[in-house]
Amino acid sequence: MKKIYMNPPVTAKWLFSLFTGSEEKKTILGDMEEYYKEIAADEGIIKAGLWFWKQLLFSIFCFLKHSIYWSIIMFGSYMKIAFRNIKRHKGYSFINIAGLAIGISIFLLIGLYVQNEYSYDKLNKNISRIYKVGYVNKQQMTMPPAVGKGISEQITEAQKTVRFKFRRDYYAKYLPAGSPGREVSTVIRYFAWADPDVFDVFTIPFIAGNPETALSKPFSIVLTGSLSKRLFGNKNPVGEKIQINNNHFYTVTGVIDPPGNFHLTFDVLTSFCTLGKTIGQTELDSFNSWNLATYVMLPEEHDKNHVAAKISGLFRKPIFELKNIEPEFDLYPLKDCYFSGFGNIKKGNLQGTRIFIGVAFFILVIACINYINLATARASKRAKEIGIKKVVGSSQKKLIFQFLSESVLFCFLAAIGGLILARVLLPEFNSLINGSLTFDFFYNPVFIISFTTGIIGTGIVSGLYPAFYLSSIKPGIILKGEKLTGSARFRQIMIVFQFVISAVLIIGTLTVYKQLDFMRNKDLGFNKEHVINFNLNRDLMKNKSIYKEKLLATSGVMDVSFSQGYPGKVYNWESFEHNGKRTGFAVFSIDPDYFKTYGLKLKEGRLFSKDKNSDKFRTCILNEAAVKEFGLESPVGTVFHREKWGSSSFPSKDIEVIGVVEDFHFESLHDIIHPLVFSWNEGWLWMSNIRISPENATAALASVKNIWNELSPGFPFEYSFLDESFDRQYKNDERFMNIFIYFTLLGIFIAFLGLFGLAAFTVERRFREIGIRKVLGASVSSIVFLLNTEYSRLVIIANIIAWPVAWFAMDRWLQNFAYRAGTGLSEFVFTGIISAFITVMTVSFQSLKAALANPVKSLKDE
Amino acid sequence: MKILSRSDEILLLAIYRLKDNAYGVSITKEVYKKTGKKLALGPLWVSLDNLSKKGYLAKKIADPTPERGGRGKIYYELTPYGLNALEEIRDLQASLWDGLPEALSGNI
Repeated sequence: MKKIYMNPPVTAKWLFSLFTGSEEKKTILGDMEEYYKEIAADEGIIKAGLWFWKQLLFSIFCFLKHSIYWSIIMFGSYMKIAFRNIKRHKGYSFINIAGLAIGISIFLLIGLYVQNEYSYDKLNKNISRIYKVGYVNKQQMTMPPAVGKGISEQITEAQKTVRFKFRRDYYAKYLPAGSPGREVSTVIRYFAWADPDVFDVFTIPFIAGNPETALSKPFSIVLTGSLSKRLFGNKNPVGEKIQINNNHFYTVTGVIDPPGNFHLTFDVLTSFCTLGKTIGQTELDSFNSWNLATYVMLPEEHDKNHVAAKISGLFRKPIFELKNIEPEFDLYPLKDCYFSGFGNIKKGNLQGTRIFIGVAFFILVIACINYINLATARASKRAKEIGIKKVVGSSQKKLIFQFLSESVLFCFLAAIGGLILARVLLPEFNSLINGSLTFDFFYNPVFIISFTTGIIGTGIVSGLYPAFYLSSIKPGIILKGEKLTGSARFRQIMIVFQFVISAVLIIGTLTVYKQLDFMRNKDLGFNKEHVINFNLNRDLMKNKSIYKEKLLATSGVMDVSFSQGYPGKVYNWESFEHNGKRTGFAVFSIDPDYFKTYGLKLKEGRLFSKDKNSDKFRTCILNEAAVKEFGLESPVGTVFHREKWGSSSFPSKDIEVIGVVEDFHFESLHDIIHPLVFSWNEGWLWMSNIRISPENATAALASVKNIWNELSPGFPFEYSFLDESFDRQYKNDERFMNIFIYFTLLGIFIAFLGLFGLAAFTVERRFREIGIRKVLGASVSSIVFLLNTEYSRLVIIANIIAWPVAWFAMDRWLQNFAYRAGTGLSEFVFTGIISAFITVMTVSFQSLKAALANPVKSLKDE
Repeated sequence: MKILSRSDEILLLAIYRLKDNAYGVSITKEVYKKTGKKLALGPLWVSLDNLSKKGYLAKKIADPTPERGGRGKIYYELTPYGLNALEEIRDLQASLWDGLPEALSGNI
């Protein structure tokens, strides 16, 4: 009986055995039992039990320290070996680490970009409550002022409403009091108006001024920090007055520092009520100009569809009366605004961003594949080391651990290289994407932890196959003297995979380039070269005809005309009724010389004539797309009739179609040509279009400027070339292409590095074979040919796989464009040739070395 | 030649004294007898393991006995290297204390 009581507590024993492996540590338990029994005999079970538990705790603590300590030492020795290996094979190590480093740096840079894109508007504290007001299916995303007003007055759920409007290129002038002649002026690229709630809805940090009152009074203006610096230097501008467009004076009520990733861009914000003074309160409350971005902020708990339905109900009657359409409103969450580009100034390219993530990932995969290939190929070099280790008693587990830690080490070295490379390349990358990314994102602990984990993970994943392969080499094989190379089939598959990715990237780049080239050179149906545009000012508006006369009298000026703005960018949306069908159209006002200035071709009927005053206000000219939209068989002579109209380009009951012009691409080639209606309404003509002769362009420009100053002194003269601004809409695409090209080149470079190393290795392995062949009489060229055919086969297979994949992907991307460059075979063929060329060059280079070597050297080894 | 630390020295000397009977429990008893310190068995094993990895001790695993709940014993034995180390430390001790009076205090 005594014996049973003299056993140590079972739980403690069980706990202890958890911490001891299948080693001699178990003997300690034996010691502890023995001692326990002695204590139990001397001092009783309770004391013995206490002692036992105390021993347990001490021991567990000690074991943990012990195993950590020795693991570190083991790890240290592995690192020493790994470093020694790296130094021994400097070339191969360099190739591998360089490839990985490049891959990692690309990944980091793209990561920065993607993270920045996805972070847009996220700095707004209330982001989940903010919505943009628009029609269902995004048909109309800009609203008239009355919508915002009505919502804020009548919809209770809309706690705050903000209307936002912007105009480009205004001028600001600051005359410091008491120092005449010391005035400072600057251009405001984006001049914006907003309701005072803008600071409640959006999170915009204030540097000076009071957000509560900054925009409550008319003619108050808030500046961004950079603009304030340009006008006021380091002085606090609050309370000062600045003059806008040589016209009204505004009081500065604050300085703000809006975050870079905010989809609304502006250099200044002025109070919305100012518009009541500048364009009139009735106009401000009307349904006339549909050009405002309208945002609402709903309470925490909300049902956006319910609110949207309420809004539809609220405006059903007024909008129906005006446009004869029943509006259906929808609320679009703020977080979608940046990528959807609802008439924002800044638009994000969601598809592009996703493509980049894919590209970054692929490049990383290529780099990892390199590592796997080279590591396994080099197996025979390590065979001796592995064999001896195994004989001495190292377990396979230990070897796997060793090789895994080696590849993790490689990855770490590559990561350091990659970080440095990314930092160095950052400015170049920024200019490529026209952004201003910084490394700040990397300095937060979340990123550091996930990056380190990622690196370790990559190391482990790419090291798994080599580790398992190398550790399973049987010692007997080494002693027998056989040479190992790993599964050649597996390596070939990896190479093909690399080639496929590279080929897809090349084809992609070529396609993108072709499409962009096509868009740049396509005949747009009008002459956009050598035309300058600029907005008229107040003084010139009054003297348009004198202005035109003077301009035409200048040598170098070929044609002058006025228009509502840039075609396609500015227009009035009006509805027309025909054959019982009511549709809305874009109406663009011009003067009769417009067609000549741009070389638009008349298809039917006639153009506006300066001699016929009756053409004004009451006639219109359609483009072919408009004719189709109306469904008119004989458009000329058709009369549109309407009873009422709002602020329209046609202040008349009847509108007669007098002519049809051929379609021309006034919008980007992304879109199909939309229907357009031309009107001749002098009151809407704010922009000059001047064609100058290319020969004396500078002189002509100088004359134009002089005339401007003569007729409207005090207004700064700013102009732009139409072809430049036109090309600007492709800027996004161009940037996309540039990035794509760079990354493709890098990806190919990495694949090439891998191929280089592998070819070197393969050739080395077959050194003896080559030597024998030489002795038997093979020529150098036949040897080179032999090695090339093997790899060429892989290239062909890779291309066969890559072509359909690339075609499919490119087809998806090209659907962004209404007008596509024809898909030819040239990109694919070119890619095939390039990949073959690179392969042949690399393999030949390596095999030449072997083929030219003295066969005696290789055979001596026997 | 690495200098033995004090605690290493104590353990090794205890093992030396115990001759064939140096295992976990007996070593703790011996050390307690000489120094009054009670060693916990787990940490003791760790120290002894380190000492044997450094080459001062050799381990011998004996058969399990029922009193120990069916687990074996590890007997420790000094290696020649360990003996050498002990002698070195004794010489060091002698040279450190050479010529100094019996009672240090009161004699500056």
